[in-house]
Parts: sequence; C-alpha cells; structure tokens
Amino acid sequence: MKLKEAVEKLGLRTLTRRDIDDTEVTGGYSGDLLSDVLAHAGSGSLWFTIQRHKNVIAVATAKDIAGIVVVNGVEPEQNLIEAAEKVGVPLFVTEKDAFTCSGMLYALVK
Amino acid sequence: MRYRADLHIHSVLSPCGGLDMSPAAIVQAALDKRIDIIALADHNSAGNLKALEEAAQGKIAYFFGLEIQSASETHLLALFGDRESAEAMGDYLYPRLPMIPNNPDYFGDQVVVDAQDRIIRMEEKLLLQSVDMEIEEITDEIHKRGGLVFFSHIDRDTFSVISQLGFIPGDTQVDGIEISRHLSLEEARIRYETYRDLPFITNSDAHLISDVGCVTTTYELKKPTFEEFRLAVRGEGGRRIFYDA
Repeated sequence: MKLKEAVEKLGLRTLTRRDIDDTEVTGGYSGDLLSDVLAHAGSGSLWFTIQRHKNVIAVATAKDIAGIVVVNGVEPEQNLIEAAEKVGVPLFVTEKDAFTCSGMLYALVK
Repeated sequence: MRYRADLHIHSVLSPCGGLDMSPAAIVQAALDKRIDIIALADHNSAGNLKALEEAAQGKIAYFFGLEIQSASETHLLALFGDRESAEAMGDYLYPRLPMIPNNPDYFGDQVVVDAQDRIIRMEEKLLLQSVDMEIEEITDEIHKRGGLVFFSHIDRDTFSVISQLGFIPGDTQVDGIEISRHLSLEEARIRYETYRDLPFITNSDAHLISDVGCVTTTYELKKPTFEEFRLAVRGEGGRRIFYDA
C-alpha cells in the first residue's frame, strides 16, 4: 500500500519534508537493537522503534526502509531529523506504542 | 615503564556486583595479582569512589570510573583522574535516571560502603537503567569534566555499541574502545579492523572478586597518573598501549 495512506490510518505525525506520494509500504518491523534490525528488517518496511540515535538513519538506508516511526511519544532531536532529511528517509512520530502500530499496520497490509 | 591496568571493576554498589566486592577487597585482590593501576566503575554511580580512594591510597595507583548506560542501552566507560570530577558526573547523571526503586531480590543489593567495609547506606534507586541521554551528550559531559570515555565491551552481544547501534558512528568523539575478557586485544584489532583508528583497551569488567585483573592492558607510561594514561591513549610523547602484551 501507499506509505501516505498508512501514515494517515496510523495517525503518524511527519517530521521530514520529503514528498512520500510514490513510496510503497510492503510490511513492518518493530525493533530497537540496530544490529537486529540490520539483520532482519525487510526492505519496504515501516520501522517502529524507540531508538533515537542517529545510527537509525544509516540502518534505514542500508535496509531500504520505507519510513521510520519513533513510537511512545519519544521526541527525536534535531540532528536525527536533519540526518533523515539529508538521506531522504521519511521520519514520523506517534504517541502510540510499537505493539499498537504493528497491529494496525498488519491489519492494513496483510 | 610498563604498567598493567584493570580500569573497569564493579563494586558492591552495582546491583550485579558480588557482596564481597568492597573497595578494600578489590584493592587487595589487585595487589595480589600485581596490577599497577585500577579503576572502579559502577553503573551510573560514583558512590563508592571515596572508599576506593581511601582504600587504595599509598598502596596502588587508581583512577575513578563510572559505567554509564545511554538511552540506547549502550554502556560507556567513563574514567577520571580526580574523584571530584567523577562525583560531579555521578551527580549530573542521578536525576537523569528514572525513579524506579531497586528490587534487591531480583537485581541484587546496591551498597555504599566505606574503606573499612562498613555499610554507609543502601542506594534505593535502581542504577541498572538508562540515563535519558544519548552517547554524544554523555561524551560531552565527560569531556567537560576532564575525563576520557570508552565504548564498553564492544564484542559483547548485550549493552555494547555494536549490539545496540549496529556500528560505531564515524564522527564519534568517544576516546576509545574497550574489549571484553573474551577476546585478546590482538584478535580484536583484526576483528574490528574498521575501528583501528581508535585506541583499544581491555579490562576485566569484574563483578566477582576472583575476576579482578583476569585481563589487563599494558601501557607505556612515565608514571601511573591519569595524565600519562591520557597520553598513552592518544599515543603521544612516547606513551602507548601495548596490543601484543
């Protein structure tokens, strides 16, 4: 499905300016250990995490992640937003937790 | 001169530290193993550093450490040459730890002691938690206070920068890498070739008295002081770390 539609359905707040009209979401991944995400996240995933270190951007790029969603109301610092802008990875935040987001997305894409 | 150092030892203040890990006992264990320099590094706390100083004075060289857990659950070994700076770091961190009480039945006791092994108080707040800060901010705060900081045990699959963050950020300001006892420095320099620009050290990370000094790093220093150690970490003025010792 279109990332734009998933973002609307999950009620995510967008932090990056990038146009996401053409981005597709094929699934999701929930994880906070970047070594695990590097090993297991599928390309085209929407990634739910509480991790806010800027290494998430490099991991998202390496795994061709459709977008990063920082959950639980964690506010990323400006340097994370800037890094996401720079490489063109869409970054979102939500008050919801990873379980809720994953469940909602699962219902949408499966 | 060559000095052997074990700069990452937990005391009884760390919930996972053995109850016999008093600063006085650690000093004795280090002397028994003919170690030249030690540092105590409890989780997110400088509470037992005064006792370390009193127990070690005149017997063995010592630095002051804390093992800090970042928001990403990455462990960082902070080392200082003076107790005041280490304690200031501890004071800075304490309100940044969530107010979750320790459950001694599950995590173990967190005991502040004096140099004669007498209990001063129990630390009520759980120390084995993350401070609400990321690596870069923690590093700045350590440097501001004149300390050095190392990524703890990067070869371990828990609480290491690699397990948590996948890799070491290219623009890191962290002063070096610590390798656990499970790998030699020589092996580590090969396995982690990508990071060879950073200094490597190894320490026991002892939680049990029998583990104090089970591995050490050998440094070329003029005398066993923190400023000499800083030069060795930077590889300056003929001071250095021996990777093949």
